[in-house]
Amino acid sequence: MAKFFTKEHEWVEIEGALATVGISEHAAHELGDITFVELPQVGKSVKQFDTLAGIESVKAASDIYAPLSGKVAQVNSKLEDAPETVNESAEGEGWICKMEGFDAAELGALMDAAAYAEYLKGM
Amino acid sequence: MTHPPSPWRLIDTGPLDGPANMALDEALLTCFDRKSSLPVLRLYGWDPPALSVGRYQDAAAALHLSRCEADGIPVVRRMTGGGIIFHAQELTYSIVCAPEQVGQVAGVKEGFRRLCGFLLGTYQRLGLTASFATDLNPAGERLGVRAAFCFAGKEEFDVLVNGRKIGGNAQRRLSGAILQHGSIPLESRVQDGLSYLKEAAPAAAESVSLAELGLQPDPDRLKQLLVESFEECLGVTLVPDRLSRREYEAATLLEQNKYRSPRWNIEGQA
Repeated sequence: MAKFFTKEHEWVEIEGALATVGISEHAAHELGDITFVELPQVGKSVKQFDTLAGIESVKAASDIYAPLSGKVAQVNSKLEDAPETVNESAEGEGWICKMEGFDAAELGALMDAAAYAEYLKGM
Repeated sequence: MTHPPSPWRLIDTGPLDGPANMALDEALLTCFDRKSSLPVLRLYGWDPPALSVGRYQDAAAALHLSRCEADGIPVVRRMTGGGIIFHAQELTYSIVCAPEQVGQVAGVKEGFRRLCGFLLGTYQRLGLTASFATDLNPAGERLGVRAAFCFAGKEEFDVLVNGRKIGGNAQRRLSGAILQHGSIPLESRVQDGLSYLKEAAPAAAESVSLAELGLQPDPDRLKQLLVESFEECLGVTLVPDRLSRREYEAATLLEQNKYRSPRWNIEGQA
């Protein structure tokens, strides 16, 4: 399934019962060298657009928001030792977590890739 | 047609203790509305001296907490990134603004360059030659390596005087608004800070303060130079102001519920 994006530059991609979440290539570029990713606890429940995780780059701390409501099923523990993976592949290997128990209808509040590209042009 | 300089609020709260200082910075950020609020420059100090840790640091792993407690040195967690800082003899500032209020800076690094420019101007007004680390890196030193102790590491937009790091700056980004705070060290208290660290940070000895550069500016004069530099650098007018009731009440709650709690300061649990 295709990726959907938030206005705060997170992405989500649904595959079966799991929704993979990360930050966009644009966000990773804007953040600069990422030095730390605060992964969410597995089992944590969040509402759509609530704070899900944290990220630090160049002494700037930022929040990562949940693109969908649901429960954290897995985290990308590779980022604990290699946070720079997010810079290298924000929309691939640098995913943050996988969520379960979501409602795909919430995708309606997000942008598809084309709409997100337009959104970035307007920034 | 030229536009008059944009007004910014200038709030000088004087020295406060660590929890009160960090609660106030967070209150200024959370009460800030990017569409309707004026941006803010706050000036302050620290009394008593305190250690601050970055948002995501493991305080117990990095600090001798029992030694801090025995010496009466509070440990407070910032909401910004970066490493540990020992705050004692320093002029501290915080900025709360939206990116579009400082020239629509693209990205975190450009944000630091834009928002730290006034520090270069302040040091230059004191007769010092100051530059960003990224513009003065003759030895090809590696920049941007994460260091537990702030003054032991250098980022691209750290400010250097005579090639030595002076002060530190950190940011928080929240819903499109930026909080940046940082310091101008009047006297070096780095060695005092190092004694509370579990790991040695020899590079920190290279950092410098105004006193070590032979300068002991009158505090009010230093603030005036900083204000002049800030206005010139960002093309704005600073208008002296006070905290709003809403900001004061938000700060009071944050201080009580968060910044005086070990759950936040030591464990990092919001």
